[in-house]
Amino acid sequence: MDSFATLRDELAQLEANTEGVAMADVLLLPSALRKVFRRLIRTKKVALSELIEVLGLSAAETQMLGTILVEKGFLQPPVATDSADLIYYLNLSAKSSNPMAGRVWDVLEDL
Amino acid sequence: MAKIISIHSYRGGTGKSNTTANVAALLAAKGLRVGVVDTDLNSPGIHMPLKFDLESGDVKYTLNNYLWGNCEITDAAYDVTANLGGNLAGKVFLVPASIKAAEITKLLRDGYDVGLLNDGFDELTEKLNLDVLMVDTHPGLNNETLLSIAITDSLIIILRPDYQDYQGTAVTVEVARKLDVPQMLLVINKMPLIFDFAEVKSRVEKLYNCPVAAVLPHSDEMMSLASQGVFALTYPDNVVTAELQHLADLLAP
Repeated sequence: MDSFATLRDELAQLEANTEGVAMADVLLLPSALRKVFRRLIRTKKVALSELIEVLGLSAAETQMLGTILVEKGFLQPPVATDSADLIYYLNLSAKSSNPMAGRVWDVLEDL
Repeated sequence: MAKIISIHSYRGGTGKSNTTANVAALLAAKGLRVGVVDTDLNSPGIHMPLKFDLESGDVKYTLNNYLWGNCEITDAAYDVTANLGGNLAGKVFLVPASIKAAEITKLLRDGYDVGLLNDGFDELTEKLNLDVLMVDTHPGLNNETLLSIAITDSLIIILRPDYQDYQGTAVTVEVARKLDVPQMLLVINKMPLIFDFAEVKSRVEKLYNCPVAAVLPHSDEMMSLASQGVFALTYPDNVVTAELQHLADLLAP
């Protein structure tokens, strides 16, 4: 299992995507976090307590990683629950489109 | 929760849609409720082997309409069981993608919310009470295929005995491993009859360290069917059908 310092340093090297991440960005995550995100894509949310268990880190360390993942655009800022746990939601970018020049699409749309 | 099966290939023309249609029908023959979603929005095609007439006036919505927010995903799901023949004990539902040029280009130009696609899979599964959801993908890797690989329980990667396919498949296998897909199976399709099937299967399994679930021989009957129906139901005693049945047995939940 990766140490906190390894995960933190690997995450620090990733570019921030303020509008959310694309699926391809998930491939850039460290292995332990890729597994978390694979499940997160289906469940759409994960509790801090679950992250602690999966990553095998302390609450403080896990929360620090959560903060970095929010800064990098992978997660939305956490929401507190009644049970004092935090819930993180996946932050997928809203749109997937082809950057081909708009004029080309205009012509094709006239077909 | 339904089992999600994604069918992928690195290159086009490998027989993804035909394999998907056949496995869907064979799973339905076991009494299962199967949903099939055509996420190949650039070049949709699985409606053909499932004998669904997309140009009929009865077709009001497609996956494109759902992704634009014009309808619920269940509005774009059609029961195609009766079209297939074979008195299937289960059901096959199809969510087709639009074949209208203007609608394809609009989606490619404007894009869509990939998260909505994911939500749609959940809604479809729940509202149609599906046992299996099959996702027919666009060849190669893009955000949609990565999503379908990430959420899948079983990933089927189809390749032909061709060196371009071999190299591309290595990329897909590597990505699927990175995403920790629970079950990954290879299917070799259109195998020339002059090849030693056991030897090719063994070499491919060794090359990718991944099981080959089926080796489908090149078939003149398949070619002559020309995607105008489900092969396994049309030719139930054919050797290709036996391999497809084996694949369906491995994938059945």
